[in-house]
Amino acid sequence: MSAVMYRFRVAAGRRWIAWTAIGLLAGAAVGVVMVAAAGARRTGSSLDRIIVDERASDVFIGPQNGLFTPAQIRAIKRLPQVSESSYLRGVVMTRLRPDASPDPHFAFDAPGTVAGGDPTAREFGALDRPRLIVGRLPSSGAVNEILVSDSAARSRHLAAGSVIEAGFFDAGEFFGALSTGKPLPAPRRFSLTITGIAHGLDDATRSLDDPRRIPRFYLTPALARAVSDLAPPYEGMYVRLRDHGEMHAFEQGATKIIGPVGVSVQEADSTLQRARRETRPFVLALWLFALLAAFAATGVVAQTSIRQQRSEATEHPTLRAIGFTRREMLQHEALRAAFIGIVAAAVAVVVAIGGSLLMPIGPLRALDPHTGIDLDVTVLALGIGAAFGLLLALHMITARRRSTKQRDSAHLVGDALARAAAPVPLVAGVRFALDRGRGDRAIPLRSTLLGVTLAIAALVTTVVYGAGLTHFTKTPRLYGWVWDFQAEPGDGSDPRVMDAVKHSHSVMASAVGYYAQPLIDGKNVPAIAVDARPEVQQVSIISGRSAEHDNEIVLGADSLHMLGRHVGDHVSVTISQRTFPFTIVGTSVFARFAPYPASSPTGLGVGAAMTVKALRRFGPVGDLNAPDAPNAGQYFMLVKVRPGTSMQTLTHEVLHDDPMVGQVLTDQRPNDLVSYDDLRRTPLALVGLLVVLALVTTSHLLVSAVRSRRRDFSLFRAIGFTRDQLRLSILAQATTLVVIALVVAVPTGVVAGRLLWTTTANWLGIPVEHIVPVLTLVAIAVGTLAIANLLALVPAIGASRVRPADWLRSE
Amino acid sequence: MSDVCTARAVRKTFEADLAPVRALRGVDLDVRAGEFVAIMGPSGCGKSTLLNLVAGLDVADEGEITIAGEKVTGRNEDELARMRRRHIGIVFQFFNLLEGMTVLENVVLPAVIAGTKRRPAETRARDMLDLLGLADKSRQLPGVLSGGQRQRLAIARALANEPTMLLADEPTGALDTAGGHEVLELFKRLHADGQTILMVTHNDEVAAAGDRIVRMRDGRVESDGLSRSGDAAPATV
Repeated sequence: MSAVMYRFRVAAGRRWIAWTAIGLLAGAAVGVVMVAAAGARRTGSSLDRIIVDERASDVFIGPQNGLFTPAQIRAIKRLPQVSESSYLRGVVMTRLRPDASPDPHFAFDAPGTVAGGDPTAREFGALDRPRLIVGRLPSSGAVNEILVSDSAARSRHLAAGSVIEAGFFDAGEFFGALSTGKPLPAPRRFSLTITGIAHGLDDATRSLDDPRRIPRFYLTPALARAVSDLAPPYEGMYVRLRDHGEMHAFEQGATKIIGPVGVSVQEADSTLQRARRETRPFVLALWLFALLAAFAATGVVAQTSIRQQRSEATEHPTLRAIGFTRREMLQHEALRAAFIGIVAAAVAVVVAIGGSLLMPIGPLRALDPHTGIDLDVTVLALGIGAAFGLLLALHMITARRRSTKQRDSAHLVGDALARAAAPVPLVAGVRFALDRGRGDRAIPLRSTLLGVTLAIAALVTTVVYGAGLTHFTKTPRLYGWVWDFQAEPGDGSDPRVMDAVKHSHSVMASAVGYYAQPLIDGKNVPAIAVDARPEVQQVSIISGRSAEHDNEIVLGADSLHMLGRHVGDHVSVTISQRTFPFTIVGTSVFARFAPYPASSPTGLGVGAAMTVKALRRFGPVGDLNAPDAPNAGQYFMLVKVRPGTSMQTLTHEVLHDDPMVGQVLTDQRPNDLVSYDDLRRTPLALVGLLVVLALVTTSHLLVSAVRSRRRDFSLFRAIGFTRDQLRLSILAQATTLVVIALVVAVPTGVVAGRLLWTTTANWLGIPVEHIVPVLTLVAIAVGTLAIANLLALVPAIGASRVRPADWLRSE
Repeated sequence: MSDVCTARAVRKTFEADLAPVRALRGVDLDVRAGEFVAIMGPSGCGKSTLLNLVAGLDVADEGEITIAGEKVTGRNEDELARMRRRHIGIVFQFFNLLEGMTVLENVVLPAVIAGTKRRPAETRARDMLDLLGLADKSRQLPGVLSGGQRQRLAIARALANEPTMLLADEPTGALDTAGGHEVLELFKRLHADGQTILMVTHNDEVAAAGDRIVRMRDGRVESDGLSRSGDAAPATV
C-alpha cells in the first residue's frame, strides 16, 4: 500500500463522519441545482409531450355558417394533406332548474351551449383528447355520464361525482325561441353524472379571469348518438395534417369543398405559441434559480470544505517534515475530494430524483403526461461531474495555497481608527474582522465574506427585480391597458352598446375598435383596429408611433421578432383572402383582446394594431353577416370615464345590467401576466434559501473566529479589557463584516436587479421602468446589521467568559 | 570517521516589518558519523534556523549544506522531502504528533512513505515502540500519552526509517523533569548504539548530554568543542 493510500485509509477511518457530512451538504446543494436544471429542461419540453399525448390536431375547421353535409365530411377526410380527423358535433345543452325550467345561461354567458361529442367515435375523443385531472373518463356506452372541463367545473361550481339534470334542445328551435321571446321548447332530459374533470391546452394557457375561457362538456359517443337527431348549433372537424407545412394547401382544399358558406379555421399554432410563451418564464426562472443556486452551492461547498481542510491542515507541516512530498499531499487531497464527491453524488442523485416529482412547473403541468419521477441523465452527469470538479479544484487550490507564504495584509481601516483615537474595542473589533489569522488560527474570512456578500447581493437583486415586476403587473399602462374600460356587445355586432356608450354621462371619451385575425407575412397574428383620438390612445406605444394611415401597422415586439422585421420594414397583411402591403411604424405592448371564446388573444409583445380605415380595406367591418367581412369583425368600445365612475355604474348605464346585451370589462391583463405573478414566488424562495445560508455562515465564522482567538482575548483581558469591552469588540467585528458586505452587495444587487429587469422587459416587449425600493433596501441593511449583531452576541458572551489564565498558560 | 553533515558559510535572513533579521551570518559546521552534537545559544541566536536548514524545512540564502554527501541546498521541496525520508529524523519541542492517528500508525507512516511495505513497517514500528516502552499504547491515540511518552513516540517516529541523522529541536523543552530525563536517557542509548544526533537546546545541562557542544551567538558559531561533562547525565533539565 502506498503512503498516500495508507494515510488516506487512516484519515478516512477517523474523519469519515466529517467528510460524509460535507458530502451530504454538497450533495443536497448540487441536488437542488440539478432539480432546477432538470426541471427547466422538463418544463421546456412539456408541450411536446402534451402534443403527442393529446394527439393534438393542427387545425379545427368547420362551416362558418350552416352545417356540413355528409359528402363534405367525406371529401375533407379524403384530402391528401389529411392524416387523421375527428368529427365534433355541438349540441344545445342547459341545466334544468329544480322546477324543470331550463337555465339558458348555464353553459355560456351568452345563451347557448358548447357541449360536443362525436356520435360515430368508437373511443372517447380521437384527436385533441382532454387530459383527465380528477375522477375518471365516462364509459363510452353510457348515456348518463359526462366529462366536464376544468373551466366548466370552476365557473359552474361542478365537481366529479355530482349529478346535473340536463336538457338538450334542437338548436334551431332553441335560438328561435330566444330571439322571438317565445317559451323554450320542452327539452330532452338526461340525468348526467360528472365522472371526471378534464383540462385542455387552450384553457391551460388562459388565466382564470380570461372571459374567453370556454366551459366545455364532453359527451360520450352513446349520449351524442342519443341526441344526434337534434339540430346542432355548429359542427367541425379536428384535423391532423401529414405535414404541418401543408396547412395552406389544406385550407384551400377545404374552402373549395365547403365553398359557399365560408370556412371557419382555427389553427392550433396560436394555442401552441401561447403555450410556449407562457411556459417560457417558468423555464427561464428555473434556469436562473439553477444558476443562482449553483453560486450559493459553490459558496456553501467551498466554505465547509475549506473549513474542514483547515482543521486538518495543522498536520501538514509534520507530514512534510517526515517526508510527504507536495505531490503526495495533493494525491491525498484528491482522494479525500473523491470520497466527499462520491457521497455528494449519491445524495445529489437522491435529491434530484425526489425533486423531479415537483417538475414540470407552470400552466402545462396539469396536462403533462409525465409528471412523476424522472431521471435526466444529461443533467445528472453534468451535475455530478461539476460537483466532482469543484470539490477537486477546491481541495487542490487550497492545498497549493497552503504551501505558499501569505503576505500580511495591512489593516488600514483598523490603523486609521487607532490613529483617530477611536474606542479600543472598536479598533480591536475592526482588526479582528479583517484578520484572517494564520496556521491553526486561520479562519475562512474571504470565502465567508464572499458568501455573505453574494447572499445579500442576491437578496437585493431579487428585491429590485421583484419591485420592477410588481410595478409592471400592477401598472395597466405598462401591460398595454391605456383606457378605463372596455365595453362590447354580446353577439359581437349589436349597435345598442355603441349608442349607449356614446350617450353615457359617465363616459368622457371613447373609441370604437374591431378585432381581426390577419395573416401577416403568412403568419397568424391577433390584431385590433382602433382609430386613436386625442383622449383615447390606439395602443400603448413603446417605440415609433401609432398607425395613422390605412397602410400602417404597429406590432408587438414578439410578433416583430417572429416575423423577423423591424420598424420601417414592410409586411403583407392578409384578411379574408385579400392582401395589402403595410409599413411597420411602431412597436407596442398589448393588453388582452380576443374576439370570441377560444380565439387567440393579443398580449404583451404579441399582436398588431391598425386603423379602422385600414381594416375596412379588407371588407365591411362591424357586419358579421356580410359575406366578405373581415374575419371576426366584432366591435368593442374603449372607454375613458369621468373620475369616480365604477364598473358597476358603467355596466348599469351602458348595458342596463342585462348580460344578454354585452359586457363591460376592466383592465384586461394579458394571460402571460398571471404567470409572471406566480413567478414572484420563485425568487422569494431562493432569497429565503440564501438568507438562511448567509446567516449560518456568518454565525459559523463568528464562532470560529472567537474560538481561534481565545488566546488574543485572554491577552486583552490580561492587559485590562473588561468583559463589556470584549463583547463590544466582537459586535464591532460582526458589524464590520456586514458593513463590508453591504457596501459591495447593495450597489451590486441594485445594478444586477435593474439589468435583469431591463433584460426581462426587453424580452417581454414592454416598456422599461425601474423602481428602486429605497425603504426596503434600508430595511435590509438595518435588518442585516441587527441580525448579525444578534448572532454575534452568543460568541461574544462566550468570549467574555474566557479565563485568561487557561489560555495564556498553554501558550 | 566521515562527515555526515557539513555546512559551509550558511546565511539566512528573514524579512520583518521593521528591518530584516539576519538569523545566520555565515555558519560553518561539520558533524561526523556517530557524534552527538548539541547546539547551544540564547534565544534568537539562529540555532533552530540552522536545524531547519539542515533538515531541509527551510532554504538557505547562501552557503552549502550536505547530508551524507548529498547537497541539501539547491533542491526543490519534493527532493528535500525524499531526502528526509532517507537521512533525517526530526524531533520537535512540541512533538507535532499526528493526533488523528494511533501511536502505531504514527510510527508506521514514515516507513510507508519511504516505500516500506505496510506489514514490515508495522513489525518494525512495534519493535521500536517495544524498545521505547510504548508497546502497550500502540492502539491508542497520542492524546492519552504523558509528555514524556509523547516525546518518546516522536523519537520512535523519527527513527522509523533508521535515519542517517536524528535532529532534535529543544526535545526536553516542553517536558517536566522526569520526562526530560526519559528523553535524554533515550538519546544517550541511541548515541551509544551509533546514532548521529544533532540537538538544539538553550539549556547547558541538556547540552552536556552531547559529546560536543557548538555555541552560537548572533547568527554565528561562537565556539565548538567537546562537552566538559562528557556523558554524565544532567542533574536537572
